[in-house]
Amino acid sequence: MAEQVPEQEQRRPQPAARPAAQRPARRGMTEEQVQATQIAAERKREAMEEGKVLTWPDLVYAEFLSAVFLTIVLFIVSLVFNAPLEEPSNPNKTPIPSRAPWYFLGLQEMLVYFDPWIAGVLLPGMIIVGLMVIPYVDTKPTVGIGRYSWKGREWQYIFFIGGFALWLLLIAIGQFFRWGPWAIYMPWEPREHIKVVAEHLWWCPLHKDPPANMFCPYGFLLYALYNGLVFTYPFWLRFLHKDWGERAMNYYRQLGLVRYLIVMFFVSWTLFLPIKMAMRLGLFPLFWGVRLKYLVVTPWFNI
Amino acid sequence: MDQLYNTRRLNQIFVALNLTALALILITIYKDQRPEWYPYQTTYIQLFRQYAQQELNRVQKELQGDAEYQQLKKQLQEVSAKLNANPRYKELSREVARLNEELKKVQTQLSEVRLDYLHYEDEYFWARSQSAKERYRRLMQQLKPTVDKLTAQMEDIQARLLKVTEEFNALDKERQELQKKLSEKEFALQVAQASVESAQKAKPKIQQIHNPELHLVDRCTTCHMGYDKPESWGEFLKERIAQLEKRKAPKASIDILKALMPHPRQQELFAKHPVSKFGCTSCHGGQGVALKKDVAHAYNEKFWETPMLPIKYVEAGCGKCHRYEMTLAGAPKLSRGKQLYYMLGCFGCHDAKGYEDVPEDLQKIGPSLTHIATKTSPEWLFRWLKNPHAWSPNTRMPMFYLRDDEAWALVAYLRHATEVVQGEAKPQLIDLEPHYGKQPLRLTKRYPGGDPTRGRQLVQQVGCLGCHRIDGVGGPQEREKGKRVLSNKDFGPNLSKVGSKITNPDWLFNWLLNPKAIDPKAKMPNLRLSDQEAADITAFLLTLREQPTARPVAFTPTPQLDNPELIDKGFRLIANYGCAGCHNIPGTEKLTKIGKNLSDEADLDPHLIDFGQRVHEIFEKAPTYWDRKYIWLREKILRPRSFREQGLRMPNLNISEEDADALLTAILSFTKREVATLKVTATDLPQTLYVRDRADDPRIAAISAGQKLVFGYNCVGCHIVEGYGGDIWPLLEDGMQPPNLQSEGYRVNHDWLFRFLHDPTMGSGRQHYIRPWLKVRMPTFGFDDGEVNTLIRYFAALDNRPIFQEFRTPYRPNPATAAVGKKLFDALQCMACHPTGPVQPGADVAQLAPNLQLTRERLQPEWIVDWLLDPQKFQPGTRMPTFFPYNEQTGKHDSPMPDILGGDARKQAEALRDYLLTLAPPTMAKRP
Amino acid sequence: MSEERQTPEQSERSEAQRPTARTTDGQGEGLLMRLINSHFIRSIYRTPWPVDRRSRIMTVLNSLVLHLHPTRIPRHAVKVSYTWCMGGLSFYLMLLLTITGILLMFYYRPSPEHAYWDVKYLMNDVPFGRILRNMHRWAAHAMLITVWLHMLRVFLTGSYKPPREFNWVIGVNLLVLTMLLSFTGYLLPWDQLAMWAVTVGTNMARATPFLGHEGPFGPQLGMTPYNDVRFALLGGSIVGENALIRFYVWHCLGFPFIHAWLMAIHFWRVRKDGGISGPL
Repeated sequence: MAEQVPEQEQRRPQPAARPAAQRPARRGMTEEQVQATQIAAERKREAMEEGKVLTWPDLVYAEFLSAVFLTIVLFIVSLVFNAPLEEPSNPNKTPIPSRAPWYFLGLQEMLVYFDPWIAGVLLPGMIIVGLMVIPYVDTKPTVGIGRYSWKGREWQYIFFIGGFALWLLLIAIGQFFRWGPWAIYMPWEPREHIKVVAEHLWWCPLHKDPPANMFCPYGFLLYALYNGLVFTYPFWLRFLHKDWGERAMNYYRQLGLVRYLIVMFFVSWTLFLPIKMAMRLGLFPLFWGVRLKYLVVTPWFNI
Repeated sequence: MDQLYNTRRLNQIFVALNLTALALILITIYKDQRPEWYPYQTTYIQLFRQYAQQELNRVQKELQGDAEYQQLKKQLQEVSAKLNANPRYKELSREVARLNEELKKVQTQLSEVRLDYLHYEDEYFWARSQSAKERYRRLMQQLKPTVDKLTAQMEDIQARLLKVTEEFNALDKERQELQKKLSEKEFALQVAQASVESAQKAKPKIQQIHNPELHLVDRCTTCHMGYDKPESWGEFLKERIAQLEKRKAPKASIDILKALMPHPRQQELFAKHPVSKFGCTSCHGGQGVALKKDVAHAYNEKFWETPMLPIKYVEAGCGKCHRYEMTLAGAPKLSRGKQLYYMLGCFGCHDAKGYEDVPEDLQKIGPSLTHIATKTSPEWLFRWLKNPHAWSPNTRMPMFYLRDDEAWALVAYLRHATEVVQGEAKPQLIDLEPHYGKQPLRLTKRYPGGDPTRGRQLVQQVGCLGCHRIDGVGGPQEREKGKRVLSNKDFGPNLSKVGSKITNPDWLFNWLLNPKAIDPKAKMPNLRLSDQEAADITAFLLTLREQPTARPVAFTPTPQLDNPELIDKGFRLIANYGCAGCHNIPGTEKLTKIGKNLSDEADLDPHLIDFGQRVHEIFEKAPTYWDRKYIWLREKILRPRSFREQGLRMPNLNISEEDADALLTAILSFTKREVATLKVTATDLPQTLYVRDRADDPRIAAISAGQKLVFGYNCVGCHIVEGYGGDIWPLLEDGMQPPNLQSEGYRVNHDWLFRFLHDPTMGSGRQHYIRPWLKVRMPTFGFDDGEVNTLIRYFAALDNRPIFQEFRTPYRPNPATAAVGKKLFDALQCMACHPTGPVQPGADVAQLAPNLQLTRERLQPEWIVDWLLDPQKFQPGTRMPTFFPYNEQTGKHDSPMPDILGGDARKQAEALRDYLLTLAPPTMAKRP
Repeated sequence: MSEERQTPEQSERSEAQRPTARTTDGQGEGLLMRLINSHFIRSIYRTPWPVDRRSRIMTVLNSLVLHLHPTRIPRHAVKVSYTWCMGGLSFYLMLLLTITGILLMFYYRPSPEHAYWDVKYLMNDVPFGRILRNMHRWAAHAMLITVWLHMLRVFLTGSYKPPREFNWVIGVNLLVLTMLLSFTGYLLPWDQLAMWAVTVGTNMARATPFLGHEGPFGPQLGMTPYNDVRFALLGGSIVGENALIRFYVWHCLGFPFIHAWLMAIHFWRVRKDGGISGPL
């Protein structure tokens, strides 16, 4: 079953495609994709033969030199900047602010907007699992390997870089814009003056105080509506824009139901994050000016 | 094959990077070998060598100039020459040497043989088979004669040696004695020589004081190498510093020399606080583990919570442990500060550790306001509340910056809560607590009118001036930069304008007669004035009026003072400003202290302080991080309301800068940080227990409680106690002053003191029981038993006496010795100064002394003897002659009468004591 | 010359086979080269100093450390502009951290009484202690940054796509482990910063659903502060001496072992999955 070969490759001797039985099964790829990969791999191997260089000295020497350079930089930094050592630990004296290490500041910042079990357990867990799942829900397993390619991987780039930037932004806010009882301080504001943080929060949509039976129907409905929209977007997007809708349906078909649900789960939570932050800050259009503590309220947990 | 990178290029980068790395490592190693403290030690070693040499030269020169030493040396030479010329001497010394050598040889042989013998003996006992036993027994047998022989030889030599040595020593005795005397003289020389040697050998290295009990590791002495050197080292350094300054040397090298200076007051401080146990940081603070100056001093270390104390507050370091005494020898600033904290009434708003034993009656330092309305007019009260210092510049009452309406509200409440003259009942608010002054104020006597001139005389004589100031009568006002320096004469109100303040003469008359009848909580004691005296004093005081000024004092007109709203507002103001912390005000008994507990104020961290609107000013003024705290505390003491426009309540104490520094020193000692309990072992010092809690040491507890009373009732206004006080002394003639209470606990019998403090007249009806010539009167304070016992314990603790005299058989004087004592009594003419009867008019009062007939009941027998032998020890400056001066040479006291009792001064003193104890006590009209 | 003649191929081969004493730029024998090619040195390295293709390949193959690399690599894989060198730097920083960490262990005792003061001692008095501790700390921060950048690079170059999916999973696990290593190490100085940072961090654990005493459904399942997952982490209900020793053991032994194991698999997978990814 010879494949269609682009014109320029006609010059080269065509390696024979191996019979189907001998081909290793590839998970997540269609038959065409597998064969395309095979051919491309062969081609690459040949091209690479000519383009290869010896590890010694090129790679090894370069690695060694960069290691020495890094060591020197680290040494100079260690000479100049001291690692912090504050006063001996005292369980009776809480420093204000008490900060997590900088790589967890993102999580601590999220604590402002979410309950601890979400910000501290659920979201980090989802970030990790979500990262691990990325290769398995990839619908373009042949596109862009081994090079930087914006074209063809737009959404992948957008989501990943966006998420990375959001993570860094949360760290930056937690490090430079927070002081005292975790209030917002601009970097130029004096830190000696401890601000009093008084948030006037509504418990949930249309309820200022916790509702009597700890159940808020409006919030629940909104949350259900949001998730419904996100999870079913291939089905209703075509009514807005025919082309996008079709691409969405294609995407859905490529993934299959299970993978689609997984992806949409993560997407829904990723998009929910800024939405909830906006609700908490009182910037959400539907509840303009009202700061919401929770959207979903149940007797057992709140979101 | 093709390579991606140019190897030459990479090699160049490789060399460059490695050279950089090598350079960095070499620089780091070099810097480690020349740390910051290195120049301090090299400078020290260099200078100390010079100093040691200088000292050596000085000692040598001294010895050269010492005639005695030279003589001794000459004598020694002569004697040695003579001895050497003596053939017998030489022979003897040779013989001694020879015998010693022989003895040594024999002893060595003997010990070897003995070893073998013992080995055989041992084997014999452990041998299991008969043949082995037999073998060893035979060996022992063979060896025994040798052992015996050698032993006999040794003993023989020893006997001979003994004889010879005796003879030799007899010849040599003089030389040996001379040698000993010479070595004593040369001791200083040896020390100086050893010092020079050690200076030569010294090498720079880290110095450390380590005391695991305190978790103490102090490396301060690595730079401060000269801390334990004598004062002459300090002089030496000062010369060098002067030289450097003349040469305009860089500041850094001068600073190094300054760091090497010896620690001041080493005898005083290091004796009780050995540096090897206490280190440096126990007193001074700082980061002891560090080896860099800035890190060790920690002035700018935000995260080291015990930075070094600035030198001007260094006494706060003493207060960390010496928490309870208000009078600490060697720490005058701290003592003053702690007294101020008490006397100014800081604890009326701010509790602090160290002031928990203030007795109930002294908790409120201000006068009781129960009858203020009967005493003064509302207008006066208004003026006073608005600005107390305008009326009385040295009053302890602070200024509250009240608005007019607030002042009137307070006046209204005070008027309302007190009763009015002659039992006229007033309407009351429903929620007022019933108070003790419920019964109407009844003034029992009418003021009959008196003579102001006699009154003035009385005031000057009777002792009013010990607590009150009266301009023109009572001594100059101490001032510093316009602010008054608090003294004990400011204890009671300034009476300079009292005539304008007190509107009711009856009130004043009755008050002078018996203050506690008017107000049981009054602090003013009863001076036992007769009616006439009281009338005269009242007349005099009423003449002391305010000068009429050109401009009348303007204030808002008196509002309706019966208005319940106004009264209520007054009550709320009292609750807000905490007036009840210093004054007894009826209706406010349940109110609590409004200020922060300052027990850990020294632990304050600058980043938690609210600087208010002065934050930028203070941050700019403060040279280091921790200075912010010191500056803020000081500013808070001097200008408490300056930090915020509203909301602050602390009033202005009108305190001078020096007093503020003292107070700050005291506050900087209020810390909760534990320094581990340190026990200095008995081998090197008398046992000194580091006290964290009064409960640990009853002596400290007694002193602390007693001081609260002594300062709280202003005993120090008249008496000198622990060297403090005696403010009335300069105002009285010589000899007319109240006694110095030093060693009172040793001097008097405690049960006598108990009776005396309850009633200074001892039931005799006379004003002066002990010293009849005095005009100042010891007032009747009306103490309860608890207070008197506290005072007795205090005096006993000060003199390290047992807190209560144990019961013991009273000392009975020996009649025979008493007879001898009488002879001495007459010979020494004791009666010339110790009269037994009333004072003759015209007698030189300065020479008078207490009535000796009181000896039996009043004085402790051991004290009498010690007093007679050395009066100056107990009362420095006393006029009692030293009849038995101490003779340094003999180590005993000389006696002016060598033929009585063998000239033994102690025996004579004891005889005198016995005689005195036989004197009959004066007749009493009534005895308690 | 009485040499026997060889064919050009023969001579080339023999030349290649003969251990040469040539310097790399062919300027004759030098002392250094004689040293490098001495018996002793050769017994260690087995291969002579690489001067030609064969010896260069053999050097990489014969070395325990270097045979991590393939003997030949594509050109683009060497370019820093492609890989950013982040993977290699992460590994190097890990080595640096291990070495400085072991040296620090000589001076540090993981008990609340001693920990802080040992670190103070390191900073003030141990010779070069200050530099050692600083290097450890800054290398740790640098490593976190390099592993994040490594992950970003791998994503942007699509190097997680088949056949490298599982390697990506292992990489994420390594990331989590690195952050945990940093977190456990953060506690060890036992100062205010450390203790409260870890308090904040572990307080999030008490909100775990089902397993934390403040999480949803936690109390219903009988979780109290004394038996929930936070208690398991800290060995107590507060960040105290149990937490310190636990974190110390995790930081010095537990996590490094797991980290080493996963790194071994990670590097192995890189080779197995076809080396550094390149364009198809």
